Amino acid sequence: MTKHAAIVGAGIMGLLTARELLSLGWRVTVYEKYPEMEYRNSTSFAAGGMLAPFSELESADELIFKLGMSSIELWREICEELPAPVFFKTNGSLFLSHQRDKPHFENATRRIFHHVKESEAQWVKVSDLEPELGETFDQGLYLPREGHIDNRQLIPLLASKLEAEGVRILFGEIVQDLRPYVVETAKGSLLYDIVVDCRGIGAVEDTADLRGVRGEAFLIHAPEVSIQRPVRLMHPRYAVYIVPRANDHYYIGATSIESASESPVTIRSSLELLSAAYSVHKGFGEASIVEILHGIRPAFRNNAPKISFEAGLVSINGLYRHGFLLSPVLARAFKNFLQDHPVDHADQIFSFTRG
Amino acid sequence: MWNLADKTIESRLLLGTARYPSPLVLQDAVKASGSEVITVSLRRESAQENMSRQFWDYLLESGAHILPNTAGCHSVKEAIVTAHLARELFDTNWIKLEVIGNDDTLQPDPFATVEAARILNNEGFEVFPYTTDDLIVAEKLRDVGCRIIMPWGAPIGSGQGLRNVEALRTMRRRLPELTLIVDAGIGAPSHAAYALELGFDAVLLNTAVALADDPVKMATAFNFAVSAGRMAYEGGLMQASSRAHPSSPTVGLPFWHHEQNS
Repeated sequence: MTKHAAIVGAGIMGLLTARELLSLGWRVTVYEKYPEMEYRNSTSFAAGGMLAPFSELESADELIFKLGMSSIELWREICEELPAPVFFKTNGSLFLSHQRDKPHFENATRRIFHHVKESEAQWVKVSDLEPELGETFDQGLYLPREGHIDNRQLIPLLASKLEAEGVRILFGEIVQDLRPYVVETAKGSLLYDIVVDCRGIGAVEDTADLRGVRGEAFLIHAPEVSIQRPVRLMHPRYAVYIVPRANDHYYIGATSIESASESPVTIRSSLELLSAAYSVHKGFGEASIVEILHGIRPAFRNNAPKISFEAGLVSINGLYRHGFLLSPVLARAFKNFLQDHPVDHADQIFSFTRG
Repeated sequence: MWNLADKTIESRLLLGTARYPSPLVLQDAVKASGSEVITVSLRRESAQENMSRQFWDYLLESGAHILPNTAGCHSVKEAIVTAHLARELFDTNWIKLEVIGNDDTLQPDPFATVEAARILNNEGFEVFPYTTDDLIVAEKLRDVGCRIIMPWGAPIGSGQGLRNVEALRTMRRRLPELTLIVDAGIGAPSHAAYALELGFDAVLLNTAVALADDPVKMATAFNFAVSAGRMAYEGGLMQASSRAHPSSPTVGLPFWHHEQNS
């Protein structure tokens, strides 16, 4: 008989888990708390879509780097299945610093070189790669194996593709309780062969050790700017990325604040992010703001992800600032586990309760 | 054991909690450092009820005393509002007073700092003011009721160590009754040891540990350095001299060697 899985949460982790289970021949139902009109409030839509395991070495654990290495290949596979093209680039990224932040920059790049091969991180003349930035920046660190994906374009496409293949996505369906084998909504309890908790920060009340880290970002339209690849700018407190999107759009973010506040973006954060962008390219001065984004990243104490298993219930959470980098890898790890295939770094990402 | 604002503690290292790779590393670093006082910066977002309780719990789990700070404030009013928030939120009358005068150098504004300290002392706060190595500012802070003064070693986050040792030495000599803590600019364990050797009661640092390749190992190094510096101070350092002095008796030396030595 066909097995039936309930996935709670239609963020990127939930969708990619649905995709993997579907490929195993499961029946899949996805519960999403937001109605379709408000789906864009989900944290996955506020992300930058960076696939940057090398840059993240600056502050992240080596585990993130190792897991993230297979991410771009998996995204390629996912994008090929989609009915329409998605803005997905793999032309590397540039790590830049203003003169004043050079000491921080030296520390950060030293940490990257600690882990990578010569071919994976190269000092370049900025004007050779990004002519419009050559006046402000002389040298930069080029990370050729990094990529980025337009998450805001991808998520709706992926969701409708899964729906077309038979996955049921129940928008606006609030899950009141989830337990092994059981999902409970206002309509009553339903039984499944397995319940997969992909709620992200939505699971904070009943997930030990989970906390929210607030991120804020801007989506802007800058016709006067032409940058081909993501720029990461050295900032003393958090990673500021300027990520090109289709049609002269750019994503600028994100802050990192130890808070789960859902309040609107502050002036201070706005000034910091937008002045960072303006300092990279004066053309951003004339850009228009398309949308101001904020989201709450779910993180465990070590800022690393975890897949917890108990009979009838699996939770995949703690992707922190690495949602798009790690979600395809974790979904694949889960699939491999179900098939009894070996999983890389299983000892670090899996945790088991009651056998 | 020593006394910091009526609390008896062992460690002479105060540790900041910002910019660690993860809360787990932060917790391990606090443990390794031996620190019993950790500073927490109060951003407005955190003051709301939605503040990540979990992060707050991680800080409490360390068992250290919490010293909230007014980092990022630029005026007397802002600092006082933040201090009030901190008192409510962290249930302590301790406040690290930081009023920044210049965003570029992160220099403290001495005039605003003294004024804010006066008001906060009157309101019953235990004020830990962050200031420069200027003696007169330190005296003014004492005059408005501060028992603790925290002069910088060098600008925040610069890691330059003690840039003006003579000024710090003078401050220590002229204000023997106050608790003096070198805050900011400490980049290496040797800087911290030096501050303690000069007779400072403690050091406060953050970046040097948080951004180290291995924060836990660096925290351990600072733990040893601070203990060594304090022990050296208590043991009584020898005076430096411009010439060599033999450390073994010279009785057995031929007289012409004596002459070379004198």
